[in-house]
Amino acid sequence: MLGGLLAFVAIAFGVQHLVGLSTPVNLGPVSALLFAALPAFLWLGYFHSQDRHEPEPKHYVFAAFMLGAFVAGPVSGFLVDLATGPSSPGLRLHTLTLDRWIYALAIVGIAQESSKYVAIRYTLYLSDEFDEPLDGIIYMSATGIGFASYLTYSSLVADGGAIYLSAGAAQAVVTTLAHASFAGILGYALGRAKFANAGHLGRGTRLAAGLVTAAVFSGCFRVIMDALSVDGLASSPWRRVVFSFGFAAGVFLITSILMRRLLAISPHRPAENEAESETKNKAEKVSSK
Amino acid sequence: MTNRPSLSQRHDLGVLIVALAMLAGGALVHRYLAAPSVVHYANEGLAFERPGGWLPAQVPAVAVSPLVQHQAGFGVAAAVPTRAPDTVHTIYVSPLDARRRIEVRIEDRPAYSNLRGALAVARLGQYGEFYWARHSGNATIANRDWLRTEFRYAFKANKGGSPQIAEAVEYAIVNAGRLFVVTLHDEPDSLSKLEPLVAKTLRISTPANSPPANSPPARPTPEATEEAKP
Repeated sequence: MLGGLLAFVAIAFGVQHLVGLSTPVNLGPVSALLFAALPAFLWLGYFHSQDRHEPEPKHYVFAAFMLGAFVAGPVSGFLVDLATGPSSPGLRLHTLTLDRWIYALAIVGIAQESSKYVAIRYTLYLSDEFDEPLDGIIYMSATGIGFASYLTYSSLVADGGAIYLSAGAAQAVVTTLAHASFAGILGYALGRAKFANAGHLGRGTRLAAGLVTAAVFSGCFRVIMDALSVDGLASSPWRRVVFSFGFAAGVFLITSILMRRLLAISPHRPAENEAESETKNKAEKVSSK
Repeated sequence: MTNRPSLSQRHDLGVLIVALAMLAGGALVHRYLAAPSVVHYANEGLAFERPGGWLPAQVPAVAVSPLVQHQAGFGVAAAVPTRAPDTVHTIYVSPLDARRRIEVRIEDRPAYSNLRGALAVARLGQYGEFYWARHSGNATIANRDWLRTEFRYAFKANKGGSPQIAEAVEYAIVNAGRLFVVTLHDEPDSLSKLEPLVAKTLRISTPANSPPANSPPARPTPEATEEAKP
């Protein structure tokens, strides 16, 4: 999967340099859809493959993806528009002002992560397939991937489908990874909250903490995307890709650690004695040889 | 007897309430912080608020009306008209887009009794044949009726630049023998952002030392005063 993602970026880079494209390329709606969907499906495959002990049904994971793309995406856009109102014609050149931080953290971050949360909390969370804490991360990251596909497609359509091919491909991969990871952190809280023996208050606190943590990561990512994509008066898409990748990789590492912790306590993992007997057999075979 | 959890407990509605409260609080703080700085304009009883941070006031060149040109004869340079000493004509331009401008014109009321016609002739003189009015009607702001006219025209940001289409809304009123015209210019379909900000703050009052209507204004033109508001 990761090789496929690298190949996706490498092909875009190769095409751009072989054809000699020095200007943005116009993508039609179908090409834009493919451009957004390809990295999404590769990441979806990666996250699904992490659920080793009892993989979730593929159609459930795909449903979570669709909920992210067609419910969480539009709902978060609506909430952000509702909260910010019409844009002002004033002059703002500073990129790291307090109002931008508030916008990124308390408006965009909360709106995006709440939308993802609602999309899963009142659907798949209630299903019988959500039967272990790890499923929170699997379903939520699938929702995050669908959400990122919606964002990528929307931005491509909003720009008239014009992108620098290589930087655009890398940005699509990074954005998908980032939103999958943010949603994964919220999914961790969701999974732990469902199966913990805490009361309603404890569960609510855990969920709210997960939501706020994911929103803070999402807001910081937004600030990086907005503020670091410009260098003075020049726009530099690769600078944005590099910084946003660094941030997304950090959050992905945290999500991976959380995933391993939940794998270790999974009720579906092979019994310890079976595992021990397997290791003993292997040791005996090695010693007999 | 067991305590059945309430609906909000079963569905963790508290989490949603917390999220919505944070979103609403963030929206309020953001709107307060991101509100554009405003500058108060006041001159000869005309007052309004405009966005701050714009370029300093400019005085445009006096336009030669096609009617004057026609009178002088084809191919003959018409005498460049001079601006009356008590006429105020100022333009404020946004640094982000040269088409986004606020134009203020204060002069004696036109000789025509038909204000609409006089304003149309003035626009024709300023924009030439590449101008067309879209809609005109009355707008009541703070109990005063302003003549509001939407129009479009071809525009060049600088000499040698390519022509673009700009859109404008003109607010005009006659008060104490003086004509006050405030015109908001922007790119097509973007006036919806500028107009609500400025138009609702338009105020007109008669200065205490103003002469009675129809008497010739013999006073020097007072300078516009501007006061920045946070």
